[in-house]
Amino acid sequence: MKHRIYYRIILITTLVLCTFSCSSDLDFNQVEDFTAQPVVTTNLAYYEAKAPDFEAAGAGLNVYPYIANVDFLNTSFVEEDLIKAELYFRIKNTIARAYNYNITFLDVNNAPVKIINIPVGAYNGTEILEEKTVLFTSADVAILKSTTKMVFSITILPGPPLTASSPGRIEMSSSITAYFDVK
Amino acid sequence: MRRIIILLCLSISFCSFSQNKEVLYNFTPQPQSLLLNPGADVKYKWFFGVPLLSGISANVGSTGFDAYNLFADDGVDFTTKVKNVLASTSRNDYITANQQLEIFTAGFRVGGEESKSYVSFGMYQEFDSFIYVPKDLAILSLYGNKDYIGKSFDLGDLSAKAEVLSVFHVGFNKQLNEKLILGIRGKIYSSIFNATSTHNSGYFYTSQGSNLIYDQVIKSNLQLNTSGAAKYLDENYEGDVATDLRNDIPQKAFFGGNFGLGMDLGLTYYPEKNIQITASLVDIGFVSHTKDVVDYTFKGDYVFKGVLTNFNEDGTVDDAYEDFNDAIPLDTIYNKYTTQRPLKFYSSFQYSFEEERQTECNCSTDEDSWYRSAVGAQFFAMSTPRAPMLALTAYYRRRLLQGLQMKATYTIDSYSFSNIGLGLTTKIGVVNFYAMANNLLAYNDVSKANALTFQIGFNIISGGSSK
Repeated sequence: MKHRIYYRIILITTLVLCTFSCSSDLDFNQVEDFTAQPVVTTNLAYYEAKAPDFEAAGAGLNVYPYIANVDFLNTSFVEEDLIKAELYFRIKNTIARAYNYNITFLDVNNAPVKIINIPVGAYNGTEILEEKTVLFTSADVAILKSTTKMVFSITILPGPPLTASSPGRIEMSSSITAYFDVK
Repeated sequence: MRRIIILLCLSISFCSFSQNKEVLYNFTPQPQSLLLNPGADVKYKWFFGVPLLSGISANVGSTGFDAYNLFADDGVDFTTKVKNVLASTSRNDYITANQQLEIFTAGFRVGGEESKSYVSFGMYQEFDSFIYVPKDLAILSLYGNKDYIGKSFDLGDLSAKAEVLSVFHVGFNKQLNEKLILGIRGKIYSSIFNATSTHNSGYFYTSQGSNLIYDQVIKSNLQLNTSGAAKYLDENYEGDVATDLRNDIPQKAFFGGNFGLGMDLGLTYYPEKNIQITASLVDIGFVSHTKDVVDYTFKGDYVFKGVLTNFNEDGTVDDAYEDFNDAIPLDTIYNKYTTQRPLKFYSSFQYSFEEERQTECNCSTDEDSWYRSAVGAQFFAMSTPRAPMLALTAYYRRRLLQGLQMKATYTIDSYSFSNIGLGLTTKIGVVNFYAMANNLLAYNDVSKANALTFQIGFNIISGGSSK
C-alpha cells in the first residue's frame, strides 16, 4: 500500500507540474514566411587608359570596345531574387580631350537593350570628375536580367590631336548595388 | 502537454551537448548519480535499471532568446522576429540540447557482505549539440554589406557541433575508509554520427577604396568535419533515408561506429560525519573519427576587384567568378579527425543535520544513523568551443518519509538566474522510481524558458543508502 502512496505523490507532483505548465501559442509554420532582403554592394568594373593610347584615334571613333560577358546576371538566384539594382560609374579624366563614355547592354541576340552615355569634359587644369548612377527599378530590372554582355567604349570628340607624349589618363571605376528579396 | 512535447522534440531535433544535471548530482539514493560522480556515496547490494526506462533525460537551452521570441503566434512578421533575436544576441550566445537514454544499467557489490566496493556498468545513447549564434554571417545574409561599409565580418562566428553516440561503461567505486570514497569509470564511445565545425576563422570586409570604388577582401578558413554520414552526403545517394537510418543506427551503436575512449573520476570525502565534499570529472575522453569521414573546406584569400576585371589586350575580361572559385575552392577531403568529448566538472559541499537513529523500522539500509536534512552548494563547469559553461547551485535535501526523498535546487547559470529544480525518488522494497525537473518557474510558460531539463527512470535496487 505504502509504495502506491509514494508513487502517487511523485505522479501527482509530475501531473500537477504538467497541468499547470502551459505554453503561449506557438506557430512553427511561420518559418515558411521567412524572407531576407540583403543589399549587396561590390565593384563592377575598373579600367585605366593613358592619353598616348588614344594617339591613333580620330574624332568620332569608338575606341576601346571591351566586351564583357555578364553571365552572372543570368543565374537563377539573380533571376528569381533580384528586385532592384543601382549601377554607379565614376570617371576621372586628366586628358585634354572631351569624349563620351558609353556602356551598352546586349541581350542574348546581341541586340542593345540599354545604353548609358556619360559625357566627359576635356581636362583644363583640374581633374574632371563625372559620376552617374543608373537605377534599375522593379519595373525595369528585367533589362538587367536579360543582359548577357556589356560593351564599354569611348567616343573621342573633336579637339587637339593626342600624341605619344600627351599627358593624362582616364580612370573608370564602377560599382553595383543589388537589392535582393530572398523567399 | 502536447505543446511541451512538440517544443521539446523540435528543440531536440534541431540541436543537441552534455549539460548540468544539478538535481541528479550527488542525489545518492539514485544509482544514476554514479554517472555524474563515479565516487558518489552510493550503497547497494545490487541493482539493475528497467531496460530503456531506467534513465531518460533531455535538456534544451538557449541563451539570449527563447522559443517564444521566435515562434510566438502574435501576428508579428517572422522575419522581424528573426531580426529582433539577432539584434539581441551576441556571438557568444548559443543553442544547446542534450538527450540521454539508458539502454541498460546494472551494478553489484563485490567482495562479500562487509565489502564497500561496488561495480556498475551499462550502456546509454547520447545526443549532443552545441551551436553558437553565427552573428556576423547572419547579419550578412539578412542585410547584405551595403550598410556595413568598414565592418569586418568575422567568419569565426560559425561554430557548431552535433553528435549521436552510444557509450559503454564500467565503473568501480570503493570506500577506502570512513572518510574517503574514490571512483573511476572507463568508457568506450561508439560515435554514430558527428558533425564538427568549431575551428573556423577568417573575415570579409568592404571599405571605401581609392581607385576602385571599394576595397573588398575575403579571407576564409572554414572547415566542416563529418563522420557517419558519408553515404547520405554522397550526391549519387538515392536510398530511403528513414529506412537506411533504421538499419544503420543500431549497427553503429553496437561497436559499428567510430571509436573513442574516455573515463570519469570522482571522490566523496567526509572531513566530519555531517560534512561532505565531492568532486568529479566526467568524460575525459576523445573519439577518433576514421570511418565514413567526409570533410568540407572553404579556405583561401581573395581580393575582390570587381565582377568585371582585368581588361586585357584581347578586349575581353577574365572571369572573376572563376578567379574567386580558384582562390577559395570548396573542397571535399577525407582526412580522419579527432574530437574531444565535452569535459564536465562537478563539485559539491554539503552540511547535514537532524540526525536520526534507526528506530522506526527494520529497514534494509546498512547505516545505524542518518541525517534527515542537508543543505549544500554545487559548482558545475563544462568545456565548450569557446569559454566554459558555468553554473552554481544551492540545494536542500530531505527525507520526507521513509522511502521518499526530495532534493530542491536553486541554480544560477548563463541561461537564467531563477532556476528552481526539484527531484523526488522513492524506493519501496526493491522498486525505485524517480523524477526530476529543473526550471520549474518556467513551466507556467515553457515557450519562454531559456532552458529545460528533465529526467525520469525506474530501477530495481537491493540494499540502499539514506545518505
